[in-house]
Amino acid sequence: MELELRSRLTDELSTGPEPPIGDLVVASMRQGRRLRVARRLRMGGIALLAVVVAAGLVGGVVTLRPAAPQVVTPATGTDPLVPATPAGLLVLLESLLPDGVTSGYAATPGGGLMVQVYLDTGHGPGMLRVAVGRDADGPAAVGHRAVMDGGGAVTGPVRRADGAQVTVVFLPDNCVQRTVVLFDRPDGIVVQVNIAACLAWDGTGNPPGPQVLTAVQAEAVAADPRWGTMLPRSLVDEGAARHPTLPDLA
Amino acid sequence: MSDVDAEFVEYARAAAPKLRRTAYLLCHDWHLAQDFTQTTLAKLFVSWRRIQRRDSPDAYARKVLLRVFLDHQRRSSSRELVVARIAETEAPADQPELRLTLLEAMGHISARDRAVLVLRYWEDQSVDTVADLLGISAGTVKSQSARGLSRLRRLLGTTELALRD
Repeated sequence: MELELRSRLTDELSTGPEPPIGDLVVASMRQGRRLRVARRLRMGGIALLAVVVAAGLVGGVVTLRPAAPQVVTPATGTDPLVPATPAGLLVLLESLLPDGVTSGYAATPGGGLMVQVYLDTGHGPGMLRVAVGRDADGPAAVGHRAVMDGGGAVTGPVRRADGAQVTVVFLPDNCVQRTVVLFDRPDGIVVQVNIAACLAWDGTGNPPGPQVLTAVQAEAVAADPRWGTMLPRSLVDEGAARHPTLPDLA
Repeated sequence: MSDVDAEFVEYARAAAPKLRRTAYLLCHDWHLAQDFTQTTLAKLFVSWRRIQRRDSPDAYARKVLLRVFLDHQRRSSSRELVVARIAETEAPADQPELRLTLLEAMGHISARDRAVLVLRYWEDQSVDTVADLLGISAGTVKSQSARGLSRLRRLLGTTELALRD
């Protein structure tokens, strides 16, 4: 007897219950929106790369096309600003990162506003560190000077349409700060994103790790108006719940 | 929700079950099939305005699903079962409980051959359409169909599967 493949497959499929399809459509829309953002960032990344290459070739001043204006939004009455905590910064950082698995959370000792996270987007964990401070007195400003004194290739500062200035520093001899994005806001807040090419010190060395953000992606992270020495209470509360204790940066 | 999003939701709700069944036939894993379907629909969502204007979003979805599946196979070839572990002898006719099901047997042929069989015999697509979807010649579709069916027959211990051209 000749049996069609299709009917036999249909029979076999019908013998076992299909698992529920759940919120597949909603999830696909969420994933689609993230893909759209990633696509825009890639487009921006190509534009920035072209500028960086051009700057390297001529060794001159870099002029970037200004990014879209961004309004710094104050906290609403229902979510007042409270002093920032490392755990709150981590929650904000995780919400701004591309999809992936996060781990390796840490912060500077004593409540300093510098946090660390490992992000694995499918190519192994890579380390990011973000510092927030006020110009000239915060840890980011210190990092700013240290980075600027450390040599390497500097792109910028580039003034954005929203008044912020972005500087990208590439440090070939510093795996913890292989690429540093400094985001200086007009209100004096400095956000520094360190994209490492290694993981944190493990007692004997810094194991290698992929750079998990491009400079353009890091700029997008730093441009979130919620970064600051004050944070919305909801972020601080969520941080306290999700990261009640954080190990010190190594 | 915008009108465009609402139209996507309407399409996706209707298309998702069939896409997921096709994905399951390709990978024989419901969790993976769910992931493949979600990724396929996400890619459709990204370009939905453009796809909407096409005659057949289904054909586009089928093509995207195939790419998602084949990309996954390329990235994780370890998921493929090792062919050498599968008995090449026919299953005994008097011991049907020892036979592989067709779904199980499908898992033991190459991803490309499986894709051809699923498109040809499950999706009922023509040789030319399958060739277009997979970016191969019509002759290759025919030879891969024949090879896949032949292997299924050996695995299942039967000669009952029809081969259509």
